Amino acid sequence: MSSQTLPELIFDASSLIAAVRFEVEGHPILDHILAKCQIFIPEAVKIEAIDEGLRGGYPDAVLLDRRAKSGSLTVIGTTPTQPNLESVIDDYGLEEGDKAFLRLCRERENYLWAVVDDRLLYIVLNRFDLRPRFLPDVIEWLVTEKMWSLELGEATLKAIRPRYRVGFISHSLERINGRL
Amino acid sequence: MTAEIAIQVDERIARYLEVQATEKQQSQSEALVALVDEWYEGTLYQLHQRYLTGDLTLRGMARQLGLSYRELYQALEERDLSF
Repeated sequence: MSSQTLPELIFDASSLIAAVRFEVEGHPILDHILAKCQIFIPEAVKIEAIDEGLRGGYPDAVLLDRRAKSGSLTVIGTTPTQPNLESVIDDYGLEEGDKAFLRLCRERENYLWAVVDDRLLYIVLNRFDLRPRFLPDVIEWLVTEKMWSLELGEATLKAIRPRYRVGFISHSLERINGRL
Repeated sequence: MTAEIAIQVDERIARYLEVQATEKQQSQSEALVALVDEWYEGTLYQLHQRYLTGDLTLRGMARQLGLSYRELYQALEERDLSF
């Protein structure tokens, strides 16, 4: 499959860090996703996950940096262009990085999911019809679309369990096994 | 990493610190450090609760705690606090 036809996902920082910190079958979850999808991040997420991570000596930031430099992760800058939009997102109490993520989702037309674990940001994205999905939902989708094996999906959900409320993982495990 | 901050406290707090220091066989400055640590942990847990109910984002939580996004992620991970 050429990169032009791979589905596009836009990742927020917490989902991106979780995807790179946990490994399955000897590879970071991020690489399993990159084998089937293109990943885009706003510049603000690069600063938070990669630049701050490198400064803080986090080993996973080195891997993220490599993926960004090789072009596997695409970094895109955003700037405020619509005063009324900025005013509305300010009213939600969002921070600069949240706003940059939302702007990128509005600017890119052909992405499939906005991958985000942040509760308030998820709600705001949903109200803007910007297709938010939690990382466990994306794992489910990869399995149901036959891009990942059931075994890889199960192992990935179990690997990320420490970072999520138990229900998020057990719900996804039941669904990919067709029991819910 | 530590930082030194000189502060003045009112008599009420000074007496409380004296009692704490005596009971725990600490200096008053050690008792104050323990108090601030306890307050910080309480604040972090309260902010996490607000995050879980959708009242603020992780970035808002990081800003209020004076942490970078990475530092917040690590703080949550160390305390086993979920997204």
